[in-house]
Amino acid sequence: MKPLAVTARLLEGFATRGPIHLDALLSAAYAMREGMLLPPASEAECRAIPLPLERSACGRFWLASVGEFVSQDSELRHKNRRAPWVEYARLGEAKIRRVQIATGENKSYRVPYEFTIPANGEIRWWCIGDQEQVRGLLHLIHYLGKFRGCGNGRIAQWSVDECEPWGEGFPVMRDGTPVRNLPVQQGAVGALLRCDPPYWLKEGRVPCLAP
Amino acid sequence: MGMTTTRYEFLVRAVDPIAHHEENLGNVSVFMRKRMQLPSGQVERVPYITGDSIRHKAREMAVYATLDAAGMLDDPQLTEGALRLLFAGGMVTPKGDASVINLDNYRELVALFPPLALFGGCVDNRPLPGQLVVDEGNLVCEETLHTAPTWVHEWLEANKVEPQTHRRLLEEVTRVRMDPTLSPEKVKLLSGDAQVSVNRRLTASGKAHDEGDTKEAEREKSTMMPRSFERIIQGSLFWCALEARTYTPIEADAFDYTVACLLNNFTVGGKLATGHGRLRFVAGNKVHFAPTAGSLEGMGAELAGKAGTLFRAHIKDHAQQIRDWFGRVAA
Repeated sequence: MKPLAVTARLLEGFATRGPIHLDALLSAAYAMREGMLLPPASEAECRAIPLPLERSACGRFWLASVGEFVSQDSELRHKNRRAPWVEYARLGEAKIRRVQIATGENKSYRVPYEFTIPANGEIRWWCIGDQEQVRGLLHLIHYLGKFRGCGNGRIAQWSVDECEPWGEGFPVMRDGTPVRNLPVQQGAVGALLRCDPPYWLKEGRVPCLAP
Repeated sequence: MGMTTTRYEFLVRAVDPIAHHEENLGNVSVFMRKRMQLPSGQVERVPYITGDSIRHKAREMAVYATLDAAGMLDDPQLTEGALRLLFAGGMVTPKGDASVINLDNYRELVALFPPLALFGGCVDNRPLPGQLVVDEGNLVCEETLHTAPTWVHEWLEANKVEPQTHRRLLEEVTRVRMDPTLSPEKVKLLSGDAQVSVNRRLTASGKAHDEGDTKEAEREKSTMMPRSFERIIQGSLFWCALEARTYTPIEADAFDYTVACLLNNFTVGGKLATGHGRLRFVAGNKVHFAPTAGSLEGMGAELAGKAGTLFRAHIKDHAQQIRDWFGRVAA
């Protein structure tokens, strides 16, 4: 296991609601490769995923940071949904007589989201791990962030290089600031977050220091 | 068969002008644009076709192709839930149990109807992630060229195509919705009372103009409506891509077939009924991803003829099961 700097060079930009953890990306790549296609709905359904990263001394999280980038520019985009009422009329059973598009199951929506263009198209992570295995998993990931299905967050290139650690706290704490979700001491105050993938799961959240 | 990642990249030519708008400013429709960082570091707004738009078109093509293969297009009688799942990805409903994943249901669903494995959807209160990514349709112009694949550069060079700035590929046109009451021969088709009413309005409108009475002129104005819209000119090139992870030969064949169906009838944007939106395949490549690299294969021959054979046979064999499943799906 070596200190590594991981860089993704994006072709354009990406959409995200929160920081992207490197261990989350590696877990997703592993799950894709192994055909674990249904995301877990609860803590009980989570399967342990062996990552080529070093575990923290307390054993509660992987030694990997969140992605850091400088925002060069951003724009507001929208996600639209429209009830397929023409198909209801053409292909639907006779029982479908009215389609309520202002409310209920067929409600149309237009949800805004932010699309960010990072400076030089770069996002950077740090970790302690096995260079070849980290590289192997990351090469399975071609898109990053939210709404990837419509082309957001396309990655042009991954690079995984050995790096010089910045000193104490590498790669999870820098200058006293956390660079990943870190569980706090018992009784201390922190935001309720997970410190292990999947980070979107609400179960298993503990008080954490967050970037 | 393990995970296979396949990507189709292709160039399409606008056989008609493309009218794909993001908003209206008064009577003017503005073409969809995105912010893009140029190699110089500057950020510019360039016209494009959204990935959502192409993805929905691909979804429609895949669904119609599957319903056709299952012999269900003649008398589909699909439920609202099934239609919502097929054409809009379904939704989280209060039905089903969100706390338990019924793996059998999931396996049955994607095995019976492979396009759902590709596009994903919401079934029985569970969102199922898709395996397909549809890139945006990028206009081939000076500003976007740095993001185009190498083979696109080679193709442009070999075919002596000089990319231009997007400003030269965009035009603004005006159309007018006529007021039939301004045409004397059409006024003759009205009833006597209506003719009198129309003539009274025309006379009042003319008088208001002569007298400079703007309030009265506004009240008596015709319903003629000029409107303008931006469109990408005919003959422009776009480069697009679809990429999918597949886990079975049927899923892989379903993906090939979806791409073939999309390219066979590729339309985007609005005003389709008035000569807009058709795109025609020009050149493309199928990219097979190895763990750390990819290899290219020309996609014209790949998609001709054999694509979909396995998939259509599978759907035909399971037509009754698919029909039964659609009858009970909650999505």
